[in-house]
Amino acid sequence: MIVCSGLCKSFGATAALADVTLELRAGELVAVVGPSGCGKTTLLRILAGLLEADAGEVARSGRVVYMPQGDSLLPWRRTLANVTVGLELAGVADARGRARAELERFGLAGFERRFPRELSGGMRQRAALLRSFLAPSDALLLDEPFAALDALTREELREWLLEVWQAQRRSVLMVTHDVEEAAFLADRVYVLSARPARVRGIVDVSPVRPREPEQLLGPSREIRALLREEHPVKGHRRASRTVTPAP
Amino acid sequence: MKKILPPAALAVIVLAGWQIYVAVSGISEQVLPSPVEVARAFVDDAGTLWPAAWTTLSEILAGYAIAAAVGCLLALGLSFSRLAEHATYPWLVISQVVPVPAIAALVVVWAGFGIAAKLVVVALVSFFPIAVNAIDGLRASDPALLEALASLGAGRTAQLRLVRVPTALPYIFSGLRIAAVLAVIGAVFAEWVGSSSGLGYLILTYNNEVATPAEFAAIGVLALIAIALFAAVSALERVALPWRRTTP
Ligand SMILES: Nc1ncnc2c1ncn2[C@@H]1O[C@H](COP(=O)(O)OP(=O)(O)O)[C@@H](O)[C@H]1O
Ligand SMILES: [Mg+2]
Repeated sequence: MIVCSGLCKSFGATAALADVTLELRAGELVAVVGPSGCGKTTLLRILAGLLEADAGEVARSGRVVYMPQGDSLLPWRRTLANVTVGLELAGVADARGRARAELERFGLAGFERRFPRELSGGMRQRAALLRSFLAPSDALLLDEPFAALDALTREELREWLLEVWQAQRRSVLMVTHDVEEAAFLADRVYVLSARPARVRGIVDVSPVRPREPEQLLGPSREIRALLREEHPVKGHRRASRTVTPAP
Repeated sequence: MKKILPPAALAVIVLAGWQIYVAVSGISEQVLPSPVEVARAFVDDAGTLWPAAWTTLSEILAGYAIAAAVGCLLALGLSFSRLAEHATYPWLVISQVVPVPAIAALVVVWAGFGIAAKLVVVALVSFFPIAVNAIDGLRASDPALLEALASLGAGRTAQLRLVRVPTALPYIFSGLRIAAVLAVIGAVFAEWVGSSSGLGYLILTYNNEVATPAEFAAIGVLALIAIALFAAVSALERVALPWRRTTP
């Protein structure tokens, strides 16, 4: 779906990315974990085609939709008009009808006439996710979708995202700095170093879902070890492996 | 009601204080007429005041409408070219320091004593705050919002329609509110420089005749026009920007 290799990016004297190589295959849910300020947002913007890399390659097959950090709903549009923006821009007929059919699952039924500021943080985030899921796309790039939420809402939404993803089987690449979240959701976790970001390691998580809390312990420990720059833990692959190009 | 009460109460207190001061000090009504004398002049001169008010109001409304249309269109046009915007913006800001009487005097030299000169002066003085605010507003968009929309497939025009114009609206409305007051001042100066009708002309005439109570009455009508215009713009803003006033 998306393959990138050797991505480098600097903003003036600030190096944000130094050699990032990763891959998102069709139907996968992949997480990118890294310390804050390491270049995760920069990476997603490059993958989305919103920013040019200084060096390295990006190959995308199909349309990619990027959801920025924080909620990016249009404050002047009510919920229903907000979630249909992608469909509208793609010229899809009956955008409202299609959105209405999904409102229930996204926990927004009954709130279609509210403006974003009249919704709770969790609802705004779900509306932004619905907008991204509705837009015709082959891959979704989510930048810290739950970062702004309290711990309870966050856990609720992570389970809910898993359900939605399992029902839709869309390719999703999400950035997070929550290790448990990554271990709970992802098929594969890329762990980035501090700025400038490199892939320090890749953690494969067993495909069992939903995962019980004790099943998260192993992968979480591996991710944490990589984040702390400890020696490689048995069971994870090194970043230097070759990436096969998209078919 | 809650919003009207405090300023109304203040007005009553000030008017009462003013009335008492005039009565106690025995000051001549030609220097400072009491509120009651002003009210009497208002009633006596109604036949002169209303036609003059109508003349001035139409100058204000027409000039203001021209300024709003041209200011917004110019800002929209400039938003397509960074270079043109950079070239124009500082001059727009600087032009705001030219005093209104100077503008009025010049315009009368160019456009004569007819209604055209008044429209031009009103339009000129109200144009600048509208244009400058509209330009500011059109570049105040949240970059994350623009990127999100771009990623959903919005091109330049769609971004303008979906993000940049709605972001600019509150800015434009503040420009319109400032311009509403300036338009009234502009009309008065234009009439002072060259006119034989309107409230500005009337104020000047009463001043020469030392008809101070009538002059106060004319100023009062002018203030009412300014307040009404300001209130109308604020009301329009509330209707046009429903997302800014709602609370759950
Ligand atoms: N447009 C930009 N201009 C200058 N510096 C930037 C820009 N975007 C990001 N940076 C810098 O690049 C680094 C990585 O930023 P970012 O990708 O937002 O990190 P993260 O999302 O991991 O927190 C930071 O030091 C940030 O200040
Ligand atoms: Mg970020």
